[in-house]
Amino acid sequence: MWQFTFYALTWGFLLTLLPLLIHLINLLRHRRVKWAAMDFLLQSYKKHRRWVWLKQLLLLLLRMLIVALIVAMLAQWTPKNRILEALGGATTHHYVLIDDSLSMSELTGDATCFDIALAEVRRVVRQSQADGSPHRLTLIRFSAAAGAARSPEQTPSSSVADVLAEPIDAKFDERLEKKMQTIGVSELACGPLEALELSQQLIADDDADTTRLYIISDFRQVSWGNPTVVRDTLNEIQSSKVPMEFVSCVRQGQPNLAITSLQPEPGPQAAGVPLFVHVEVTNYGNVAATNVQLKLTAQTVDDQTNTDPTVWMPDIEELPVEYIDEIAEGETISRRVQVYFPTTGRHVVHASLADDPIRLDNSRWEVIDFRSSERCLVIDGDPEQRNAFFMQTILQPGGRASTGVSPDVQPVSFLRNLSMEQLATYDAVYLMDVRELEESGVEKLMLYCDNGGGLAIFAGPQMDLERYNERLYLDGKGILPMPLRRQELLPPRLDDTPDINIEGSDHPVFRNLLRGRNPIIRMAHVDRYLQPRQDWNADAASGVEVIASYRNGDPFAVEKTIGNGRIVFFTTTFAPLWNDLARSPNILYALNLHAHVSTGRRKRADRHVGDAIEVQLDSAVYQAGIAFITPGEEDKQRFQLDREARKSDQASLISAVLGGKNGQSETGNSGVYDAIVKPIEGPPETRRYAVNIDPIESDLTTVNSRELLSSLSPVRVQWRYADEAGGEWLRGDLPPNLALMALLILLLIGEQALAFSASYHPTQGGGRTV
Amino acid sequence: MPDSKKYLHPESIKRISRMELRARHIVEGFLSGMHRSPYFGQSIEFRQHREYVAGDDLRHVDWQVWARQDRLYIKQYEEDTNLRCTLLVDISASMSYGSGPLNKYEYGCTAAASLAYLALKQQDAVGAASFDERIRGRVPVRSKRNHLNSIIESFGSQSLTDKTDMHVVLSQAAETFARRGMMVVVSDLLTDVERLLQGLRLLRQLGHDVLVFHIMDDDELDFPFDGPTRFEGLESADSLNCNPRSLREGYLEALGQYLERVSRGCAKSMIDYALIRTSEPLDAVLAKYLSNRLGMHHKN
Repeated sequence: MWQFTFYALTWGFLLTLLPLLIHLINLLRHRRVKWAAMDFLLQSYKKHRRWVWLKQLLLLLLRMLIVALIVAMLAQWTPKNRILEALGGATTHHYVLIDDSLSMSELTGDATCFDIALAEVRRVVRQSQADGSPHRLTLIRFSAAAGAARSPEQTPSSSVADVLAEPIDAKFDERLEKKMQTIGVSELACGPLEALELSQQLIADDDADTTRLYIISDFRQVSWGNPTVVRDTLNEIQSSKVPMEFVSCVRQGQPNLAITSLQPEPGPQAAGVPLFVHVEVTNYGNVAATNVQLKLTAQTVDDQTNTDPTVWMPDIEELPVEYIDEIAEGETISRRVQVYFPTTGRHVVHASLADDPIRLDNSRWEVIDFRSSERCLVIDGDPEQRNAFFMQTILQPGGRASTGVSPDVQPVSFLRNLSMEQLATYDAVYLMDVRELEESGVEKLMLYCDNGGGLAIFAGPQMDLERYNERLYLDGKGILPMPLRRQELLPPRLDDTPDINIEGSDHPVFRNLLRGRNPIIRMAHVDRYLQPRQDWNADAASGVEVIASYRNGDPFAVEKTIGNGRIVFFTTTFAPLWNDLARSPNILYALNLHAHVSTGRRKRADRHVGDAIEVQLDSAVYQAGIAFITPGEEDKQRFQLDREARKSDQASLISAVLGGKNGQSETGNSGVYDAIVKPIEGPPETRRYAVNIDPIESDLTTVNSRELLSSLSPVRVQWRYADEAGGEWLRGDLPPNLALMALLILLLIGEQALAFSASYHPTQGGGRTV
Repeated sequence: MPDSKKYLHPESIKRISRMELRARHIVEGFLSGMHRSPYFGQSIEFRQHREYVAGDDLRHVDWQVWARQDRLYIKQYEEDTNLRCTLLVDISASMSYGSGPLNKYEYGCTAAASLAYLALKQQDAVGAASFDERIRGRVPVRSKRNHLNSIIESFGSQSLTDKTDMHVVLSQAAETFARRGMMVVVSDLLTDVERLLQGLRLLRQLGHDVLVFHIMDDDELDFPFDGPTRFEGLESADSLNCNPRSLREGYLEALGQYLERVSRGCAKSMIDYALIRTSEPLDAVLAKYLSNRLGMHHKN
């Protein structure tokens, strides 16, 4: 109950004896009056004696209490008693949930939305300090709460808050500013749900008398467009009688351009082989953007000679600027840009736009692993190896021309002794007129495809159709997309209809064959092919699709997707046995085919800020120590994080993870990440990863506040823009010192009235004091 | 300063000199004057007829009645006589209280001197007595002009001590001034009310026309004191430490009851009672009182 800010001043309570002393002195200082009408005076005295004494006693006590109150105010008394709290000393706990997602980096004037949000926090603190009553503050960032929600077993909810229930005292400003220097807007895409759920837990365990919740955000459509997600949580919080206030840091979203995609197109990623990268730019504004300049750079890092990996000093080749005349509102424009890296390595492609309200989404990174060449396994069942010959011819034409693909022609028996690790070194496998496959070989290929490997199967006279149906089709579960019936002759052509009908198809394997006024595919002739069973139909639901047909409607090429891998079955031979494709420019489809089926090997989802980077190593080959090099906020600034790889689910593998559940802040910056692994023998190797921001944060469209509040019904939330005057949150109770002041004033008025009544004050017009 | 100058204020005298001090009731005197006498004598104002008894002066027989009715009746007339005015001035210790330029005693003496001057001017006889618990000094009733000095000197020669006992005083006054006349009591009346009224009634029973000038100080009537005060009795050893405002209400209530009782008692005995504040100008007070009294006299 007795808590004072300035304990030394509590000695002042001795002054409460002062009125008593003055009273005693006054008893000795009566003025004397010789009085005639003593009888009336004595009568009055006898009648009012008790009341007079009582008034004097009350007056004395009142004056002592007044002195005590003044001393208490000077010593800044903080009452803890419930009764006194009712006078205004109740503790108010402010829960401030602050949006630090990427969209909060939007520049509005000189400040970002996040700066405005921090200013709001300071305002809450200032108002609390001015209020004088006990206040506490808890500050939670959306990103921190979202990170904790990802790995609740590792992160206790109480440690997520940047500021947790700290009393707002005179020195709180200092502590808060120090804390604010360590936090900034993140590059993450995160919503309010996790922070609300966390605050709900904390509020439930809170013993404060009054609790207030502030959600300071930019209230973008992408995060708040579906408020039903947070409505239940808000309703729960409201049931605890917690007033809630939404503070919007921005009134209207500004037009914003963002690079939403940067990916290599399908094709061999080999040193010395040009590669197209696909770039997408999206206009999130409500007006068309014109004269947009898209800059790309090809950045090469020589990891072998780079002694300090924490310094990002690549060789940068600036590619020709792509000019985009206009991007309509909401439109996404894509561009193909060719990059060329003459050397092997994990090279970087960077795309950028001019600065706009969101700076970070104008930049995107991609790491492409350029090897000396891609490898493909060619198994030809033709005794004369004619299929392999033509395949080698197209993939390795010789001279200075390079496709970036290196075929490895092997007999069927090669599969028997091939381990999965060895098989995984191939980007694609071609089975050409192979008579049959052993079950072990089928299983390996099945697993290979499931892991993203590409497989192309070409028909031929050597094939044992029954075996194929039995082992490879497997009632639709195998690697053969369709069941085989028999060899069939394509009926003679009676008109101009080409043998292979790919008109209207935009499949990447045949896309090039349709170009020009007179597509070369029309020159192709097919004599014989394998007909599917009559009862078979391509089932898109099971991942099977006929991508090209003969003019009689039977399938020419059928594609099947297993796991991440792609399988394409051609019902005719690759070599010019049953057709003349290999003798014409149509043979170029083989290059497309390789690019297409091997896509699964290169395919990976965009890694966004906060996602995990997992490095798996063979413990027999690599040491456990891994050095992660992470980008800083500045372009060339990088940091090193050392990690020990630990055993993973697979016995021989060890792994280390950066970011993700371990803490999304580890991968909290967009840019290029390196993982330097050390083989037991040999020089260190660098694995490189591109981490980019989630494009959903680039859409700056804000929600309509009325619609938002309406859709949150029955939750009642106060809405306010940050540039509007605030302070309505101020608690209805009076602060303790103000309450003491009010009480003091009341006591002083009472004292004056009592003193006047008890004849301690002169009457108006002058009383006789003799 | 001579007492005559001390108690006779020229302004007061000038203002009341044109007034008359009239006896309200029948008073006894021997000179024909403006006051009605209890004795029937030569006068132009007929009073009544009375049957003749042996010894009556035959000059008063109404012969016209005898001629018509053959019965002897005496004609009786109102006879004006001179006024015998006795001034009884309280010189007890309580009269020494005063918050203004004059204390109650001085004010009372001034009032008495003014009345004496007035009475002597209209050739009435004036006597005086000062008293506290009993009659302390007497000045016989005379109508000589130079008698005023004797009266005034008698006021100034007294010391203000002892407590008033009005019954004793008024009894003594009745004995001392046996002939009926006007008794003017000038006092603060701080005494036992019953004893006071008994004394006043006694005077009335003896046929005196009694006037009471109740002299009170403003402080006594308003009790305007502030601050811690020790009140010490002027006529007693009582004292009281108090904050006056806290007792003011009770004091005024007790005083009011007392004044009410005195006022009613006087009215009941047909005694003129006038409560006079020492702050009021004496000439105005006397002028007002005398004009009222003259009006009442004419009504009667």
